[in-house]
Amino acid sequence: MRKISSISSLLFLLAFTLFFASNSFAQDAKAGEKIYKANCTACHAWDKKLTGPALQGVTDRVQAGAYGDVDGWLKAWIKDNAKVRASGDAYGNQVYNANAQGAMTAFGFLSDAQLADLVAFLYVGPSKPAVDPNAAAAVATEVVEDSDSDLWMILIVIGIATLIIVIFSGVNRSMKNAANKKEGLPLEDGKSFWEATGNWIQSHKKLSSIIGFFLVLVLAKIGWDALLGIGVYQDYQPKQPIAFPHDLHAGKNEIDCKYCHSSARTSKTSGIPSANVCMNCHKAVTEGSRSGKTEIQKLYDYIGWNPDSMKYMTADGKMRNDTVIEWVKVHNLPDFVYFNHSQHVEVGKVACQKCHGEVEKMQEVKQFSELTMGWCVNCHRETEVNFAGNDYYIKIHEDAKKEFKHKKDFKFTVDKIGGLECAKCHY
Amino acid sequence: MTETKKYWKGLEELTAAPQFVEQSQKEFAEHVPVDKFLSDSEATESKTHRRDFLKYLGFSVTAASLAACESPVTKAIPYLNKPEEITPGVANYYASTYFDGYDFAGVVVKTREGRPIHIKGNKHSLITGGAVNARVNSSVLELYDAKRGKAPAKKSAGAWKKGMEWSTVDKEISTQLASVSAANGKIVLLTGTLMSPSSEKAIAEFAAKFPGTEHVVYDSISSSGILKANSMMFGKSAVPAYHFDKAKVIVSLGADFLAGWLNSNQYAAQYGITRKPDGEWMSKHFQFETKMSLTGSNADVRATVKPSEQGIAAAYLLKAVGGSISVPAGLSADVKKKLDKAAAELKAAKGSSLVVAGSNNSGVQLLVNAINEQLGNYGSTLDIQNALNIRKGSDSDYSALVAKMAAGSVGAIIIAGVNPVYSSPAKIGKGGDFKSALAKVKVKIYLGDRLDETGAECDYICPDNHYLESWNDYNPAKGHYNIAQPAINKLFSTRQWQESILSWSGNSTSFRDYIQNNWSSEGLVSGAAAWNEAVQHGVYVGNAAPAVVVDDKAKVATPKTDEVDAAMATVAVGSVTSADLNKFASEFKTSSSWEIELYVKAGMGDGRHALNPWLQELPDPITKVTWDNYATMHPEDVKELFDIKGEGYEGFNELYLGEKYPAKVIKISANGTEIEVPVYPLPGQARKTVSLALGYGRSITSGIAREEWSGGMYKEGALIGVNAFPLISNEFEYSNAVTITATTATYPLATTQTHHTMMGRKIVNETTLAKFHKDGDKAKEEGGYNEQELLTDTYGKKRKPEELDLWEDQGVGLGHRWGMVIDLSTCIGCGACATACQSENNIPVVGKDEVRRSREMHWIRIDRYFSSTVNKEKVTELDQLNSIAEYHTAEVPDEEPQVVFQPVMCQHCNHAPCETVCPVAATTHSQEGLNQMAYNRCIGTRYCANNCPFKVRRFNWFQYDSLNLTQYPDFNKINPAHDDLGRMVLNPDVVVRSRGVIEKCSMCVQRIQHGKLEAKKAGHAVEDGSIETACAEACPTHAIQFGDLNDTNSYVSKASKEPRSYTMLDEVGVKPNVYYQTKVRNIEA
Repeated sequence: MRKISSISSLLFLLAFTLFFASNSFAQDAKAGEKIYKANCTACHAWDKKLTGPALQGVTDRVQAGAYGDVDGWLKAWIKDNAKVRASGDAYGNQVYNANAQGAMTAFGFLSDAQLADLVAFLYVGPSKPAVDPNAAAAVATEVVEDSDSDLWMILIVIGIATLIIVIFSGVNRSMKNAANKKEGLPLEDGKSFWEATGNWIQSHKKLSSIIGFFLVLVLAKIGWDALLGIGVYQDYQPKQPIAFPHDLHAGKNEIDCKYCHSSARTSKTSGIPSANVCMNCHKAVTEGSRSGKTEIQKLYDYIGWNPDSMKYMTADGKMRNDTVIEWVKVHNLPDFVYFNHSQHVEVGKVACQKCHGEVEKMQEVKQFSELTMGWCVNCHRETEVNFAGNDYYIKIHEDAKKEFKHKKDFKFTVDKIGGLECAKCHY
Repeated sequence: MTETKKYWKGLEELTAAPQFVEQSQKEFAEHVPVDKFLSDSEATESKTHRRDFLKYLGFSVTAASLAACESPVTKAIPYLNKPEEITPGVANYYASTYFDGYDFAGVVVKTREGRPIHIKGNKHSLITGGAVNARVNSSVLELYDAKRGKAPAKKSAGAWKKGMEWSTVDKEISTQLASVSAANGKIVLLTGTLMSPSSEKAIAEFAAKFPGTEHVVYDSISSSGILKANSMMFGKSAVPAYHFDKAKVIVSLGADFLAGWLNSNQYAAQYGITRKPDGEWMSKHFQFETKMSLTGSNADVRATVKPSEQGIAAAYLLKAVGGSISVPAGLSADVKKKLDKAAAELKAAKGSSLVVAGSNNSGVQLLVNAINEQLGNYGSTLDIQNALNIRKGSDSDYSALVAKMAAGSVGAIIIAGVNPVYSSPAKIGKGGDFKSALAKVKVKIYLGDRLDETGAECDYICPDNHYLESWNDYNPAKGHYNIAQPAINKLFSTRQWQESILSWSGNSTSFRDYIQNNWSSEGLVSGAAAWNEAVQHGVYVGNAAPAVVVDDKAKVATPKTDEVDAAMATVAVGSVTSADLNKFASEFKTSSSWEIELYVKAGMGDGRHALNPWLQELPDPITKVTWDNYATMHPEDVKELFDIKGEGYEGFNELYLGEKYPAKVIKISANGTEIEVPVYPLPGQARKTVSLALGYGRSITSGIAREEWSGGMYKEGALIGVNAFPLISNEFEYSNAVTITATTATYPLATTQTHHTMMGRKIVNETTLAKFHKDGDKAKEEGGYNEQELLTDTYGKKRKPEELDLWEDQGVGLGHRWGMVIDLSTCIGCGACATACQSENNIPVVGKDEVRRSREMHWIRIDRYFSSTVNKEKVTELDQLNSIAEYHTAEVPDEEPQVVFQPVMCQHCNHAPCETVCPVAATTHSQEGLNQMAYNRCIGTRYCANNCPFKVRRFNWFQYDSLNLTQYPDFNKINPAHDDLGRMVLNPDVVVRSRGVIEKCSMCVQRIQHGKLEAKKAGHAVEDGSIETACAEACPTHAIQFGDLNDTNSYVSKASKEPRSYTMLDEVGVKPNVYYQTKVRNIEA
């Protein structure tokens, strides 16, 4: 089980912040970068072609023509490129034709100061987050932590301690006897540790039976817990064919869970998004901040997408359909359980995180809840039915008011309308 | 009333055969089959000692728990490019049409993740109005039949070369057809009835490419007699549109119009509407027939006639309603009396009555036409101008074709959609059999779906698609069009036969485009939007049609019929004179010899469903026999034939059919053919007749039937049942004079009629229309037809059962309380509910052997009770005797016993006896009135089944769905869930139960949950009718209705309070949520 320890991520975050604080650009270029990110990145990338051409080196390429200098040309072009083309500007029309005559949006709303910032930015390019050596090390040596190992460590330590006590008491006795022999004193009887313990128990019956009682209790508890744990895969975190980072998508980019898992609204399954959903964004977003192109490239390989030509490489120019992405299912309910996402998400208005944990903070998804029947039932006992604005519940609410009117502190929880019944989930 | 009725499921119950009484005391007929559990024969012989056994046990328990700790890795594989309309976990529904040349129905196909899993009726279809029979709703299983043809095949040098490429086959066939055509040879296209405008156009295109092509239409179950009679009388070779829903008096001369005669789907729905006693009028139904048919069992008045007497009966009836005809002699006084009565009723209901006949003799049909004409029914209850195109096959064309083939004058034959080698009589017309005639044809191409009887005799097999993989269009009646659209991509390398024909004509258009182009050029539907709408609804109604009746609920009893041409033409008798009629009538002669009637079973049709295990295991509505056909015979005839001594009932005990009591076997010979079949003694059969079902003995069933299914009667290559088609007369009449001889052989039949018996308790209730009207709201009071049984309390006071209760009330008032109301008046017993339930709830098929051990798994069974009259004095005397064994002294079984059908499923008792005895609380009660079953809790004590007064609980004796074929070899041939393909039909919302657990009707809880969820998501209350159980949805007559009993506006809550409603075993106080409505017969007393 892999986890980035919270400390290391904290370190990373700290380093990242420091880095941003310590680096500085010309004031206008930094402002320009903001404008760039807000307005241009939908169609332009710095170092590769998207819908529009790559912007790297644009200041070298531009032939200013009638606009005097490069800056002038760029400002005029960004403000209203159609006008530039209409004026018969040679370079403008050349670019226009080279990019399949896709007209660029006019950015007339940018002020001259903003344009100046933007052009200044185009000279220097986007700021690269140089990796802080300490932070990098922290990431590289992900602290591998195993929650189970804690318990084992304790058990081993206890075991070793017991062994040491046994050995030392034996050694102690031998030494004493050796000393006594030397000094001619009477030898201690040759009782071993176990015999001594037995004698002690004989003489302290009350105390030892109390200790024994608790010992049995503890063992029973451990055994019971172990049995209950069979088939429970909490914290199950399998490795996925594509290292899809939920923390980036759902956390940093704040993409709604149900954008990709859209069938959670309509179906019993939340649905693993199909690759065409990924491509809604990843036609444009071709590389990430963590593993660069490698993971996104896997997606492209599955579906046969060429990010450079922006085309599918199949004969019919469509997405491949002869490959499968074998995601490993993290949340496995047994087949004899019927669980419906839409009931919980749409009707019950339960947040995804209630059962799945803070997925927006998980790089790799792990099973957050136990997914045991007890866990289901507890929630049904505690959760109040969400009546508000749902006419379906009008009658049952009226009925229930009558039925339970004598009960004080009555809470209309799910179990009151049959939420604990077998055939709600098993059929 | 001076007499009362006694209900019995079979002769053995009537006579209280000792074997039956013993059997009926047990919930489970058999001991636990330990040897089967072990199944491995070596295991039973092993010498494992007790101590070793305990060691193994200990080890395996430990191993099992350790194995359980192993984390399973489950893969989740999404679509790469998800089709827009598919959401995993959400069902899609597609309108389509079922027509196989025999059954016609508009259907809706339920698909999950792109695979069809359930078929229900399409309520948009004005012809069938949402009615589908068992054959149609089971057809989804045949899609996943791994034995279908998977690729084209060619016979060369007597051996089949399978798995060929279509292009190769196309090239070869085109060349061969061209050479036949070039030599002025004749090419024949032999199909069933098509009623598909585009298919006919494709055939015309083929004929244009290959001059000299002839299209011959042949129906395996022919209605040529009707076509011929109408052609003689009206100059129209057509089946008229029948309007049973408008007929106040129905007289059927041997027509089983509820189970197999013409468009029975449509007629069943129409008939159901007229059988409600609370409407303005209730139809009165007379049936004169040979075998107790499904239709006959629903009749108010029934009489038996031999097949040869049907024509005489028709002539008699014509005379009685005022026609001029001389009636040949030969009817019994009883039949005459009933015919007179029928005639009187018919005359009283002139213009709103209907007479139909099942015979394929055009003379009989002509007489029936004359009767309807005499009664002025043309233009009201039947309509020849707006014909139904369901049968077009001509027997004379077919006979002529076979003669030509035998003479060697046919160069090439292409056979599509029919299986003539199997379904032809032993001698056709004046010629020989089809098979030897076929051998004389040089080029033989079979466009059927597999290598079957006909395929085996051909040179090429170009496998056809399943209808769920095909496009088609149908024109069932004037102005009415249906579309069949595929619900799944082709599973194998098959091609629908129309595309094959087109491709040989040099047209590579897909049939979908071909239909669309044709519709557009015919001016039916043009433009993508109109076409899409037609495909979406599955139906298109022409401009001449009246407004579509949208409200479908039969609760409102809206007839859904062919009403395109409202002004129905009345046609005078044309060229047919009474002299002609006399001539026909004079040919009808009764005979004293044995006669056979060949009929079609509600489950099997013409045999094309032989490999459908759901239909094979569906008990026949009347005999309750599964997996076989058999000769039905009057019990007294059986006694005579087998020389069974014993007075009256004593003799019947020898006719008991049970696990250890096999049926007797007779030899039937006719047409130079001899077959041996088991005998089923059936009350209500005409004397000196036997009836045998068609559609059995298909060669493709070889290897499914097992050794022990036959009780030693099978030799090499056993089939399911016996093929009766060779016994059809050479003039295609489905009756024949035969010789019957008794044999000493025996044959085990798997009948469910005495399984799960109610042990003589009164559970069905019936009355007459007169008493129903007389009693009105007082039905439940003393002396009423629905009198409630009162209990006597400690103080001697009579109390209603609900007042005396041991248990606290369940929370029945909170939220929903699901329930059903089943109208015994409109239930026709067809069994469509049973197969719909099987499809919806993943019910396993267990096979004949297990059915014989009372281990069938159906959640819904249709109890069929015969009833006969008991006289009052005897009964009073017998009340003190209090024993079913004594009942038989009191009454005489009528020659024509009456029949009541009662669908029984879990009654979802509010005070369920099963729940209190479960030691592990596996069966519990829900707030919504459902009796729930948690399979994973069940440990298989079967206490619940023993405590159920309705005998509706089923135990999984084996792992019926196992993929482990070596462990359960017995089930893998019959159970669809046994191979990866067959499993595709399983409903993913319902768990497949494993061995050792009890299961039973859940009231389709998955549908209830789904319906509630949809209502919650939409934010409104559950609308009545928005949730339907599979059985209620499938019921063609809407006899089963489902709804919320707590919703005061729902149909079920209103109907359950009607005086006609009652619950079974009310006096026991279990408070079922399933209500029944008393059956009302339209008779005087």
